[in-house]
Amino acid sequence: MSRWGGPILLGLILAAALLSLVWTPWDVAAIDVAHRLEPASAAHWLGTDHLGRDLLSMLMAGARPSLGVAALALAIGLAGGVPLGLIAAARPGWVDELVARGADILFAFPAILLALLVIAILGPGATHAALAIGLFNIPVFARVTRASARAIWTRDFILAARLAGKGQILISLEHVLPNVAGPLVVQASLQLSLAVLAEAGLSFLGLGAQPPAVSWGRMVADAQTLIGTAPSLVLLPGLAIVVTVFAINLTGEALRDSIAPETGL
Amino acid sequence: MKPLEIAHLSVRYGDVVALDDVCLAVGAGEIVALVGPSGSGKSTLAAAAMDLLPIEAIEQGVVRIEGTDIRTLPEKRLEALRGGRVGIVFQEPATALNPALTIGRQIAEVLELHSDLGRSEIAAEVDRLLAEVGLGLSARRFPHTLSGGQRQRVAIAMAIAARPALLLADEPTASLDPVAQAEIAALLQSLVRRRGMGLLLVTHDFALARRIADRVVALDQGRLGEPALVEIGPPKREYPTRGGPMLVLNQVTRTYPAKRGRVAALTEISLLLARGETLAVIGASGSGKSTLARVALGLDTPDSGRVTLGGRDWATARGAARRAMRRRVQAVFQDPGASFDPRQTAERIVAEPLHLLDRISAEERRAKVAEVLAQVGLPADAMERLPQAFSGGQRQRIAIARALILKPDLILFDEALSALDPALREEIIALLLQLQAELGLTYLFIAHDMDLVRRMADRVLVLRAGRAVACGALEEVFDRPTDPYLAAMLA
Repeated sequence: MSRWGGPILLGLILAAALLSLVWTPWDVAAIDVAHRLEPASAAHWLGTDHLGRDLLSMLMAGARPSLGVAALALAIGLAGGVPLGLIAAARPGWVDELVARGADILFAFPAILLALLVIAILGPGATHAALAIGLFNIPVFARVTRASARAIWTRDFILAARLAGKGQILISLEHVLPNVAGPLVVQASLQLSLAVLAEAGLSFLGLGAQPPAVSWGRMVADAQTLIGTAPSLVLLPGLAIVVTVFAINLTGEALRDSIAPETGL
Repeated sequence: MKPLEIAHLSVRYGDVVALDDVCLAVGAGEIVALVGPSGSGKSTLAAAAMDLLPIEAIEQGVVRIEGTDIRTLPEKRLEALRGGRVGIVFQEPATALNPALTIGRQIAEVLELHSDLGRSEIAAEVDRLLAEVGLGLSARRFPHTLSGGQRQRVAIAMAIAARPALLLADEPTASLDPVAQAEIAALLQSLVRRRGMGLLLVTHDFALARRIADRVVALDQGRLGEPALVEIGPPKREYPTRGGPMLVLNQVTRTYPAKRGRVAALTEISLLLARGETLAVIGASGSGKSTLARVALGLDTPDSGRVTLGGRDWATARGAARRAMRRRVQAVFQDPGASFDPRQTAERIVAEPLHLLDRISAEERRAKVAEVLAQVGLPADAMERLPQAFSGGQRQRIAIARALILKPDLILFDEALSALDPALREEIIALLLQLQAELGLTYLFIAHDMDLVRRMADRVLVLRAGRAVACGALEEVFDRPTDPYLAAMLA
């Protein structure tokens, strides 16, 4: 696949999610028991589920919580982790120790159990799921940023910047951040696809987006008893999750190739 | 049969001619040095001798190893040749050795591939080889526990393990400090004489080539020629008028925390550098040179002692006073590759010290950058380019431009010229002398290169293990070297 394959695929999924805000072939919430479990037809391109809802419409609408929750979780992780990592790299000593050991401690907890705990306290819902997933992105980004930034701080151009009278904050923003962007982009694409999977898992357990909102994880959960009679009800949302994760990974690789090569890091 | 014969060899990459009708032979027991600036085709010639040219290279001519035309050999025989009849020593021993294997294991591997010795014979041969290259070390050591010079000895042991007829050495001393350089050169010379090998020494170091080689041939733009000798004459410089004290270090001590207690990087160093003067700081790696540089630049704070620049103390200057001090001192670092942010254009890089000026418009900034780029002899269109787009010499000019843009009083050069090839170094030295005469600059050189020190420095400070072991006018220190390290470097 060419370097444009991933971005194009991801763009199509995004476009479908955005389109579902204003238009879907059928009303996602419309229950039509008379036409339940219909196979693919001209009216329902992918058939209907056990309540007679249009499967294509549900898949389109289901992309929203998937991508939305994952993007929000990523933003939380970046906003929390990158500054922490930059600060740790700029201040060797107890500040650095605090950030590094803090990340180690957070990593020592089983992520999924803590996410369940967060949701148990805050209550289920898409935003809370994003918060729970995002919390665990923070130490990941703090670590990656810190490791890459430390390598940058040892280079002579940092000395040159200090000779120019620049302080730690200015150096971190002007010299360190642009040079750690490559590894961060790679890590971000990884965390985004992990967040899509985590959201699907939480929705599967009923802890993500709540009805009547549709999500891929919930669709799989709802249809699991019908896997023998209507396998497409499970397979299609499952396939949607896999394709999305794949598209994100390819996009991450394409981005890294376009950002990283000239840095020589 | 000569170990290596090259006849009418031409190599092209597309339209670019890398080698043009080169004829060269290396006899048994002979050392031939191949010198030339970077890009002259030295590496291409070495690769051609091993039939290791990249696939896109177009080759004409004959390369014979011990009488056999290697281009007629099948790949299997070539593999036996490389590392067998032809041994290779690379520039960087740190990357030539596998960090996960003991040095004995790595030498043994060569013997397993290229000899039919048994297990116990190999073990004995490994010990004998280590002794032959002057390493009285256990074969069980790992590469990271060795110094650069010791690693290069291991690499040489690997290269000669299979008793090759020809040894190819590609800049074997370029990454070493001067003492290790001299030792490795002497080792190569004695090995060649003792074993009757041929040695093709690829280097940009004329001094090394002339010292150990029987013949020196020069490559220039792919053609062989007589070596253009870079004459080292008496210093041709106009002495600028000296002024008051520029940089003063008074009893400066700096220690760092270690596993047990603290280690001293600098112990009670005192020096005085007058305006318009040039001081060279000499010492082996780990002698405290870089700490001295950082302390002088106000980037590091000594445990005790005072460092004053133009009469002001780094330790007490704050705010505006400190910014004023910063404006007076700049530095040029060793590695032009690492001293620029790879994501910034030359304009931003050179303009960085202008941060110390309070208010400056974009036009003024651009004008200043253009002026200083012209001063160091770079074209104005250099501004828009990233540092990777420049050659080594151009990069060093950018580094000098950055150091000059604020018109500082003191510039520190931390091994800043050691990576340049001789022609470029000449240009940069001339430029620095000219700037010193025009602007009355004070230079602090941290240097390995005795030739450079002789030509630039008024006074010399020799450091060993953080202590000043000699200090004084260049002639006094150099004529009667009391320090064994200095004596070794001057030898």
